[in-house]
Amino acid sequence: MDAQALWLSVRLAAATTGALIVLGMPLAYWLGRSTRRWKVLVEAVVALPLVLPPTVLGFYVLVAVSPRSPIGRWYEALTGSRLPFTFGGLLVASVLYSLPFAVQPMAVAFGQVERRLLEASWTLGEGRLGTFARTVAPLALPGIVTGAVLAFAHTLGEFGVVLMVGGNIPGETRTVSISIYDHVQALDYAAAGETAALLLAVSFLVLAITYGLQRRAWAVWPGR
Amino acid sequence: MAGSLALDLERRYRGGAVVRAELEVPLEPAGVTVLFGPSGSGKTTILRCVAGLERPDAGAVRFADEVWSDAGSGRWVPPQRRRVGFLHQEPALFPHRTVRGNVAFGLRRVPRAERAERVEELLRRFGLSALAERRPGALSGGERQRVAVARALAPWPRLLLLDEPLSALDAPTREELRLELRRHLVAAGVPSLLVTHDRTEAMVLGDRIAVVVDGGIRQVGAVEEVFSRPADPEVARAVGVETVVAARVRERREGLLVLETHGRRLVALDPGVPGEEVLACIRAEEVVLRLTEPVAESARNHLPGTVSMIRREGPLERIILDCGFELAALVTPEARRELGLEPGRSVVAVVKAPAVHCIPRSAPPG
Repeated sequence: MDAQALWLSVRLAAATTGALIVLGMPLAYWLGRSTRRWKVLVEAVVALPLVLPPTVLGFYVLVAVSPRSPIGRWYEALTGSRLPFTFGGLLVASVLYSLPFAVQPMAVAFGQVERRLLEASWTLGEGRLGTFARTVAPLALPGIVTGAVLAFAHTLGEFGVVLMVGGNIPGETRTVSISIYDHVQALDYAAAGETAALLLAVSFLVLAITYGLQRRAWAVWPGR
Repeated sequence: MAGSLALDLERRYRGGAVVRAELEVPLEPAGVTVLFGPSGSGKTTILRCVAGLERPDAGAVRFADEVWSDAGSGRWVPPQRRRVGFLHQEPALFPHRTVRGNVAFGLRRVPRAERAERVEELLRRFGLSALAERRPGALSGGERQRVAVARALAPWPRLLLLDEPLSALDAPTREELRLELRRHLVAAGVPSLLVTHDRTEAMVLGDRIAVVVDGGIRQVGAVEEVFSRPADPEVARAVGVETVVAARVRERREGLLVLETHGRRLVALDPGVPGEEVLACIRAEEVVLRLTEPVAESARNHLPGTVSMIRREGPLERIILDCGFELAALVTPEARRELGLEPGRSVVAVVKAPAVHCIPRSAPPG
């Protein structure tokens, strides 16, 4: 088993989830509560990674962050390093790739918070941020947790995007799914099977725990 | 706190509906002003504009010497900074907080000790102490509405806005909560604006009433005045044609109530306690007019008076009598001719006791 690859995958998944909570939550809130008509366009863009082949997404990310592109040049000027075939590049690609998995459950949960609860909070003197923190976020917590867990599990298992943007550099971009692929290529079925089983078990456990927690969460808030 | 809440606003909806309101509500003494009118007349919109939950398209909302919204200058005070209490039709309690947590919600910036004291005081006042740790899902409809009122009053609002606060309740609970709510509103001493389409609710809860018809305010005045003397036929239709007069219960006799109003005695059938203030309501259809005092008759109320006004109302005619207070009677044109009813004519109004309907205005003392 490739412990280095597993550790890298966990780090990548955690960083991606963190980034998606910070960036995805405001986006999800807007998607869940806005009544603007052109919202559907944004919804479609967010959902693109669900249907796009990972290689296509990976290809565009690779082109976008290459040292010849404006983004790539700007990043290099800012940090002195490049994005393609690095952990940073992988993180950018993962955030985009897992965006719908995080944003969609959050947006649904935010959209289900009744408007009169927000109005009640406002008339009781609470501003928009306070209303979000004290009322919207706690009520939408199951959706937020679902989004975060799905993003984590999805990033843990990504393959195509990683290969396109990150390549296969041990300790830097070689994630656990790529290590499985390598083992199979080398006809080392035993090692591949071991890692695959571990990935399967971890994914199952994470999902089972999440759904179990949600059931409990609903039970203590009856009458919704 | 001197001054008034002054509205002069217009709200336009896609599809053409327009709500206009021009209203001045004195803040001193702190009474309950009822916005009364049929469903869809724009009452809720007016209330939401005052709360800052909706923006008027034209006009202004002023509270004492503050301008809350002014479409002309673009001035806008968000609901957070208006310090009003708002009650939705359905009590919008936070489902993830306990009763205590809900009541304490608006007191976040209040020092801990003072906050705890205020919350306890309100829980006690609203009879919620035993339910303090329950979540809204485990409460009955009436209990939920009590929590909502307590929560709205907790942060010392300067104005309380209530949108049909009892309409989500079943009839017995509504009945029970009506007088209780009136008592709480009077005790809180906060000027209140209350929306309702229920006549009884308007009479029990209101000190003043503003009648809203077709997106505009048509008449403003004391409750009995507006109900007894609607300004125009549309207001009359909205409030129902009825005589409403303030009275005091003098005594109970053989299961009947003897009321006193403007020096006259009225016998009614409703339950009541001596000393209580009530509004006595008499439907104009149930008033019989005759020219002479009857020698003996089953009807208990004989009220001599003079005709002060006659107005045509559909196939009938509405006769306004002055018999110490204003009493309306509906008669056919034929009857009017036979009795020779003209302004100034002396007649006797006859009303059976069960036709005098009493609405208590405040809870009995104690």
